[in-house]
Amino acid sequence: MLFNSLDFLVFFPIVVMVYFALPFRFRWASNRIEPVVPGQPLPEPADDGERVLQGVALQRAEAGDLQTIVGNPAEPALDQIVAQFQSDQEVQRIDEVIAWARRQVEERFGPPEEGGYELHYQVYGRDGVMGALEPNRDKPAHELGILVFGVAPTAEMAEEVALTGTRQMFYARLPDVKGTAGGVAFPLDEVVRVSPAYRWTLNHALRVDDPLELFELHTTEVAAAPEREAAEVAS
Amino acid sequence: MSAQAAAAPGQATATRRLADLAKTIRSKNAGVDRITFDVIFQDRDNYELVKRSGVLSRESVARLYGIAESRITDFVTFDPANAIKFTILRERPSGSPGDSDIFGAQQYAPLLDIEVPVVSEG
Repeated sequence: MLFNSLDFLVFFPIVVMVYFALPFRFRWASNRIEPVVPGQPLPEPADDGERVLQGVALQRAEAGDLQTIVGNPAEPALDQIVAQFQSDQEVQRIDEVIAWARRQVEERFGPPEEGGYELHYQVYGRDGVMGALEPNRDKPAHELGILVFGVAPTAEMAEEVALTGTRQMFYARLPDVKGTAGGVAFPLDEVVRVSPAYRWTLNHALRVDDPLELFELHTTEVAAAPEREAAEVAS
Repeated sequence: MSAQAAAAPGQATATRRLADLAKTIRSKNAGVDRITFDVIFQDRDNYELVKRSGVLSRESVARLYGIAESRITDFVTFDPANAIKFTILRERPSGSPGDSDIFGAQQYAPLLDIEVPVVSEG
C-alpha cells in the first residue's frame, strides 16, 4: 500500500480511529508515558514486579503573546464606598466592574475560548497575591490596584484585549453608582508590552528500563599537551 | 480548641501566634504544579507544642486556604529537623498567564496568625 494510494486514504483513518478508541493503557506506542493532569497528583506507577521502575521527566513550556496594562481603579464607584463602607458590597462591586469589562471584550472578540485569547485581572488589595487561596478575600482595602493581563495569538490582539479590558472598567455603568464620569483612576493610559507568555504544555514521566536509554553518551578523552605537561613538571 | 483546654481544671488557656513560635515559615514552588510550605522551629519544645496541638493538619490547612483536602499532596512532621511540611497543588502551573506568584514564595502569610493553644499554670 502506497502512501499516496486510495487504499491508504481508507486505511489510515481507520487505524487512527481504532487507536484512539482503545483505552489509554492498550496503546502500546504511548503507554509508557504517564500524563500529568493539571491539579492532580502524578499517577502511581503500575506494579511491575521485580523490575525497578525508573523514569525520565518530560517537560515543555510553549510561548504565546502577552501584554500587560496597569489600571488603578481607586474603587468602582467612589461615592458608593464613601456612602456605605461595606466591604461585602465593595467586593461585589469590583467583581461587577470586572464582569462588565469582560463582557465588552467578549462583544468584540467573542468568548475567550472562541476568540483564542485570555484576560486576567489581579486585584491587589484584595487577593492579588494569593488569588483563591486568600483567606481575607472578603476584607479588601478601600483602594485597589488592578493588573490586567491580555494574552492572545498575536501581540496586536493581546494589546487590544488588554486595552479594552482595562478601559471598559472605566466605563462600567452599574446600578446605584453615582459617579458617571469614570470609575477608575488610571496612572497611565497605555499598554505595557511584556515578553511572550509561556505555559507548561508537557509535564510527564516516561518510564525507562535503563536511565540512559534515551540519551546518547559520547566519551572524549582529553589528554594534556605533552610539551605543556613537561613545562609544568619543570616548574 | 479553647473548650478542650478549658476542660482541664486549674489551668488557664492562652494562645500564641505560630509566627512567635517558629523560626521559619515559608512557601516555595515544588515542581511545576505544586507549592510546598515549611514551618521550622528552633527548639524541640515549640515544635512538639505545635505538633501536638493539632493546629497544623491537613484539615486545618485545607480550611485556612479554602481548598479541598485532596489538593494537599503531602503533609509530614519531621522530628529530626523540628519541621512541619506540607505541599499543595497549585491553581495553575507556575508562570501560566494569570498566575500571581510564579515562585510561590508569598503564600505562607495565613500561617503566621495561626493561634497555638498554650496551656499555662493557672
